[in-house]
Amino acid sequence: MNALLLLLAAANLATQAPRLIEPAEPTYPAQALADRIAATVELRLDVDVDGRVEAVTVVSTATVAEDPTRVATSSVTASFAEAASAAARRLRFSQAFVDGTPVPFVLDYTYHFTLPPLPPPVITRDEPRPQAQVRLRGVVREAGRRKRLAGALVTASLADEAYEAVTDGDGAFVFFDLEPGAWIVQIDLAGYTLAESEEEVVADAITEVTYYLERSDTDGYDVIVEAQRVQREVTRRALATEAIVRVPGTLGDPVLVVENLPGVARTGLGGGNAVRGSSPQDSLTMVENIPVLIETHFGLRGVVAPQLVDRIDFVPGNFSVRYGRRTGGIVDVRLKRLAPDQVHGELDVSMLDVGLYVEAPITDELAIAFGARRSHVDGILAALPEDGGLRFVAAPRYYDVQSMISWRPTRAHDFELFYLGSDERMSLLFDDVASVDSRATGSALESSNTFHRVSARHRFRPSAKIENEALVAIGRDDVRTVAFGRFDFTARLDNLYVRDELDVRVTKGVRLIGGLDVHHQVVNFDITAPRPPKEGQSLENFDQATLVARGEGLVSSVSALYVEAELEVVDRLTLVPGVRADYFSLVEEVGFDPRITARFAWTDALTLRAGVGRVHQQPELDETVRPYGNPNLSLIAANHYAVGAAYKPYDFLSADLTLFYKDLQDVVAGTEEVDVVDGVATPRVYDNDGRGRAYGAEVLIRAERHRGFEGWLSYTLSRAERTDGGTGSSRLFDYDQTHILTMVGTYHFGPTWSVGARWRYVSGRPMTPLLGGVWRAERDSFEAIPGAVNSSRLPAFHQLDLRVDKRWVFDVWQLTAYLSLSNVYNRANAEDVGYNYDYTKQENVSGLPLLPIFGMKGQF
Amino acid sequence: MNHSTHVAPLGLVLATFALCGGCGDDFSPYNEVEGFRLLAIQATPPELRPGERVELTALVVGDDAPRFTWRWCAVTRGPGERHTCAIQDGEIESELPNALLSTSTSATFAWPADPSVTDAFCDVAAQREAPNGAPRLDCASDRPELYVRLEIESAAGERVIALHALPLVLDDAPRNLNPHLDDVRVEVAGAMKPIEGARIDGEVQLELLVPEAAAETYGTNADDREILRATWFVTGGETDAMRTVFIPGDAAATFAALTRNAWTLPTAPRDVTLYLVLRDDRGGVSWLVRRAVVEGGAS
Repeated sequence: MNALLLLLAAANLATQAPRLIEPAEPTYPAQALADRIAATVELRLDVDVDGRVEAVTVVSTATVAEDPTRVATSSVTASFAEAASAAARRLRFSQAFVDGTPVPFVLDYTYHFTLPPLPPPVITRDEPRPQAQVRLRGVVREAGRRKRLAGALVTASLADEAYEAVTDGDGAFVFFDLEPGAWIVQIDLAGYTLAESEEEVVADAITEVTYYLERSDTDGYDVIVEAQRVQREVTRRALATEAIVRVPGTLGDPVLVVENLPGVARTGLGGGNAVRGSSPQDSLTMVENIPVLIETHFGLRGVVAPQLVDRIDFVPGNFSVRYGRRTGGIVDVRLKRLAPDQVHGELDVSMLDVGLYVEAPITDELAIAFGARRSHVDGILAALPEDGGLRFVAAPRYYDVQSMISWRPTRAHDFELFYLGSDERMSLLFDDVASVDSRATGSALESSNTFHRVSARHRFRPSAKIENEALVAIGRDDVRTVAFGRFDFTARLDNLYVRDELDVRVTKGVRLIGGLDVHHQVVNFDITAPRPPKEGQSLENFDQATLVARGEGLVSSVSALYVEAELEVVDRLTLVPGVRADYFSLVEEVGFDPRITARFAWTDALTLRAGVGRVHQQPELDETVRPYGNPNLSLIAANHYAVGAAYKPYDFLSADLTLFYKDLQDVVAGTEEVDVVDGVATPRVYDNDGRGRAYGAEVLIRAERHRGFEGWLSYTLSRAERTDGGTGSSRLFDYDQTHILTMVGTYHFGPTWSVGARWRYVSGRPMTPLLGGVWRAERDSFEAIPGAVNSSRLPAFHQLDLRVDKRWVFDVWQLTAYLSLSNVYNRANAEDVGYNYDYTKQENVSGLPLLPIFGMKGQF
Repeated sequence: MNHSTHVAPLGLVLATFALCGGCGDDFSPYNEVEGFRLLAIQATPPELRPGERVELTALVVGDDAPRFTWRWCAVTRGPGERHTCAIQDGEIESELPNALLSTSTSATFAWPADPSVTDAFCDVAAQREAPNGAPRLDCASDRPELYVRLEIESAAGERVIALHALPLVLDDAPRNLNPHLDDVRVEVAGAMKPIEGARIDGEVQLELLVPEAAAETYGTNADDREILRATWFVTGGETDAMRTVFIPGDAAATFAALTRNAWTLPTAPRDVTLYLVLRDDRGGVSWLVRRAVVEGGAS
């Protein structure tokens, strides 16, 4: 608490003005151009906290006719206002910060409609012509993307004559009355390579041209790894998609980059994110606030098309009250708001899968997007000869489909309809199944996960001070695993999500956020399987007794109300207190979660942060259903504590340090106690007698692109422990990894070449040693005798991954080839331990060897 | 929010692969007999009923004079404590059979006819903490399983601890029999011949002679037919399949698939032994032992 008091004691002010990052040029009204009328339109813009223009007000429109005898008509004047308003809505600004907090703002913005120059005085002509004739006209676009470029200076020269034009909002330019001949045309625009072309102008004809300019930087993406967005948490890491598509080892998938951030442990073959001493299932991955069944396919691909992703928000702890129900971390995949200027698309073909993405404007207010991906690993495996009596009936494969419709009928309303569907499955048939499982009663091993989500979202912003976002979504999850006739796990979950959040700026320095968050779930299941191994149990050491459970219409509903304030207490000091209350119908309990964070901007470059908060999480469903679990379990609780500092000495360099402590209470743990239920002795199986703690330090040093280099260094030093009920002694948590070091760097050799590398070093994860086996005669196999839980460790993991990108830019599209090399020095990293049949000998089970993946990506 | 229901089946898939103990390339296969091994325990009949008795014998390899220690366990402590016998520890008072069944190569296990003994036994078992979360004796079932613990120590000091689950049948279900085995034949010069004493070389085809009736039908449902599993233990070379299986209705595990295997023999001349153990899925076990001569010379 001392650190917190220190933060509260000091005060300062951090304010950062917005800057224009995406200009938009208006279309010159055709009638005004014909009438040779110029104009100046003054606008007032309401810009939201993300830098998007929410509302445009025309303050004034002043017109000037080139011919002083002419006057602009009202329709021409209105056309200027309309053109300017339309362009202004496409503007994008950087965020504005007050006291380190991003804020919406109002901005005056002026468009000057300047007439393109008339042909030079016809002094070079023998006979003046009564009316100017168009001789050369064209459009300037960005090569590869076809984006129309406004503001480009086009110069046409022939001998001693030279004329200039500036492209309008549509990238168009025109020259009048050029003499016939071979004119040299130069096009110049900041950020693009100077282009030059020779055009043959002939008499009594119009020469039409289109010029494509290549960007002079790499590809024009904004690169932000850690952004100070709506920072209501001590640590929130916002990953802009463009920053991470080339991180080696991730195949350009934003979701997979999360594991490279501080606080996230390696989960190896299990997948998911183990955050600050919590199991993967204690963290939550959402897409636009909607939980999804799976976040990646086999740890290889995320389920959302990267082209639709605006950013990934990762909060490893001390959440805002907007989030809850998980004691681990939150990953929220934020989708972009569609605003395509024209049809864009992408086709990505790699050795792993094929992805397609298209987005298009329908009207000024309506836009659509569609994405799909399918793996073709199954096709490759099908082409391989059968091996070892194993047949792939359906080899591992996955597919995803997304579509989005965005409609903005007025500046105050924003509607969005989104669909996400995903499926992954695998089916194997063993000719020699008895050798794999001595108790098999079938030869098939099948697994599938399928989910669908349909959401409707409405953002309403009646003024710059009030915003409401409402969300309704439905979804279905189908999960099935069949293994050798002995295990059959079938579950269907129907989900309803309702969420509404109101954000009000009460006064300067006081902002209130309140919301409703409901997740209603109906579960049907039919299970014939053992209890799944839990944290602390090894795969060789869990009770394999087959149990049977069936249920229809089991309802699990969680409803929450939350409220949070952002208070600028004094200069440079902001407090964010909040409270959240969740009612969990499964356990019939209310989780009451007060939280507070504080930010103190010591200097413009140094910000200190601290927070403390409580979160509740309900037990896993299987832990609450007999005979698999105990329906009398209670909520799990955690207290999160963190202090941190962010230091940004240069524009391109930043460093962040966070110290955290997490106290876990009422953790679900196995027990051997027996209860008498309806007169029958019944294993209690689980109780809430477990405890745990995790503590450590996280460091992130980030270099934004500077002199061709960008990258980050992430390091976590931590310890995570559990105390199982009844034992009283502490042991290591399954994902306790003392050192986690990740270094990511990409060097851009020029506009079209880049090479990236990622190196990771991670302490080996704890293991439970096996001390031998007892032979089970009726099973014809040995049963392991476990030693002390997690009392040994695997060897440390380290691996180098590389990625090379080469881009070719053509006029209307671009092609990128990439080569990803995982585990470059082919280290045999131990992911697990394998044993001989009686558990008297062991050897490490290695992860993937050197794995090259090549792909090509076409974009237009 | 979400209940992470995918974790459970994922764990099952991983656990399924973990069942394959000894599948690593660097380990000797389970069915390769290199020395002292306990390969099977047979109860005759394979299930116990009140008022009846069973004879217990074991198939042990590699020691001419093993020292057997037989104990039966009413409720065991679980693998972490090597299935310590409850009765041995005096935790269950006995009107029940003696804990120490035998110290010889076979034992007899009788169960009292008096139902009150079984009830008392179940009452005591119900009060016990459940190892690994599950009671070892499920008295709610019509076939609770009793456990016989067998500890064998070889003359060289090698020791194996084994458990055999013995169904205690409390209803009038059809009786189970140990599966009948006829012989194992081997392909020699294009003809199938008895393997005992055969002179063989290279890779040979094996055929288990077992009547289809060995897979008994039980219960009222015609689909209630036993699964049969054959384990092919060998003292030299390696077999294509460690086990073969017949699963009624499974396209890949037909009765023919149960009976066929191939044996790649060692290259050097020597005697080899095949221990064929056949199990049904209701506790029945039979075995046969056949010796052959490897002539050597084949690559």
